[in-house]
Amino acid sequence: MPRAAGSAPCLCTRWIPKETSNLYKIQFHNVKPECLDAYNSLTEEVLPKLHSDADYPCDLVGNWNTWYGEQDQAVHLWRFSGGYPALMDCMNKLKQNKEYLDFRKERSHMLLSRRNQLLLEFSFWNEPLPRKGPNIYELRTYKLKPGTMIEWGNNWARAIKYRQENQEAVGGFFSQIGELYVVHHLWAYKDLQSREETRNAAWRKRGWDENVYYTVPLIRTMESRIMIPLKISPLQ
Amino acid sequence: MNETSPWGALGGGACSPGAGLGMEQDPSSASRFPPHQTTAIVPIVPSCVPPPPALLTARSRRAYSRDAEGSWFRSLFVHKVDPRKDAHSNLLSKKETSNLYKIQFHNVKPECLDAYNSLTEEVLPKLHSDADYPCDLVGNWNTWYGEQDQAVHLWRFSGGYPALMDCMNKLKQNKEYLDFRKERSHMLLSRRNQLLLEFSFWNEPLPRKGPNIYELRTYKLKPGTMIEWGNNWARAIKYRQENQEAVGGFFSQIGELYVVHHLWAYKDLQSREETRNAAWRKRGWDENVYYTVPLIRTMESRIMIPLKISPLQ
Repeated sequence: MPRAAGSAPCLCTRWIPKETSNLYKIQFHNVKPECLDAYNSLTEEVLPKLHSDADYPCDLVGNWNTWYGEQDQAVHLWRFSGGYPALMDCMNKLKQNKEYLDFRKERSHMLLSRRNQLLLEFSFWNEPLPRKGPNIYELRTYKLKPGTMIEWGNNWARAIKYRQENQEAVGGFFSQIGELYVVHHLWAYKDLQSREETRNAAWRKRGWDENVYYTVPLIRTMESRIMIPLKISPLQ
Repeated sequence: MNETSPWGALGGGACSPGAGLGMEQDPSSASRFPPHQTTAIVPIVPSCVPPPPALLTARSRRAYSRDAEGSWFRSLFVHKVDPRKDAHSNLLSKKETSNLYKIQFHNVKPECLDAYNSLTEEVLPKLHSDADYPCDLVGNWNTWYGEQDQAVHLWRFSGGYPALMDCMNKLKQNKEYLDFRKERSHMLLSRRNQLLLEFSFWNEPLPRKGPNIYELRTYKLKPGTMIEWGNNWARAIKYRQENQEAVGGFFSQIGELYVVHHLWAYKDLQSREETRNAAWRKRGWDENVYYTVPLIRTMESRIMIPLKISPLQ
């Protein structure tokens, strides 16, 4: 039965892993080109403290600079294992944290703009766990046509197995807050040549072509960033 | 077409599982790739320019039947995606080379454009000529019409991805280059880049003497339409060889996806006008336009002037 227009996707019960209530926050920071080094240094100093401090119920998943795509951009991915309550708890505590407030002030001079999204992970993807490097990361962002998320999930639930050739699948997410009907797929590769070979290998597997065929019409736009992890990133 | 309400797909029509494409079927069934049912977007019918008269070939009679006229309208809104069996990089690019191209768009602070150009002219040719760095300059321009105060650089890596990684690793150790980047960073508002492959049916961009103006036409295609685009242009490129205007044609692999760049060279804007008009006098060119335009989401055109150091002058 068609859902009423404007109703929230019933993905919450369908695609998120039942055993966790992980919430993810992704941040895209457009850094002033002349400030990128300073931004990275500042970030590397402050963010790990939040990650390791047990008082703050948030974990760093990964931190990167884009290499190909939108440049002079930093991407940060956080996990809140306690879901929305943990997110609010964190926010309230940070408002009182002078060191963090100073960091934000200093950071603000280095930024052109920033945006963020709250994401849930697809149940059929691996959970993004720390990895040793060196890897390059690809963030493929798909902006889907409204109403097509279920179809997307159906296809990828079947297709994800064709992309486990080299442990390249890091995490797959869909947006809940921020721009909607956005899907992010995060991949790790040894280098660009390995990426080319790994991706080509998928075409040799029967079933992959179907996945492309059925999912491509669901997409409005798609982009791909190649990203290099920062020193502090758990995903290296 | 089942829907009677306009824009039905944006309401409830496409939202039930699998309903959007009616595709929940056993993949091993005989019709593995049945045609996509539209997500039932019935456009409010615009006043339509009928297909050009020259299209009264057998092919176009098929396309222009009453039934299919609707499908041309539909094609503007719901694009057909052909099944494919391989990656774009294997289907569309030149097989005999492993050329990889990098295009950079630098939005320069308007007050810094001259300083940016001077700095660039000093540093970039060294990378090009240094045999240690497996990269070649193909062209460097400032935009003249379009996004202004923008520099566009096109590089070739003949050795493909390994050459790209090699170059990157070496440059990280190159103090002069790092200083250049630092100095340059103060002059930039923002920058972005894409890695591109060249279409097999286009000429390879080789150095040319000037003076020429260059036009970079950038097409952002609807996902799934790259093969269709390539099919059409492989036939149509011959209509655009009037004045050696075709420099290079590329599609993106990394960065924004489903992006195509066509690079043209003209003596001046008047010559550009005449050259482009000449294509319309060639039978077959109108078909190319007719079949490729519905594949496009957005398109833009920049007119660019080469920098002194650009091999494409």
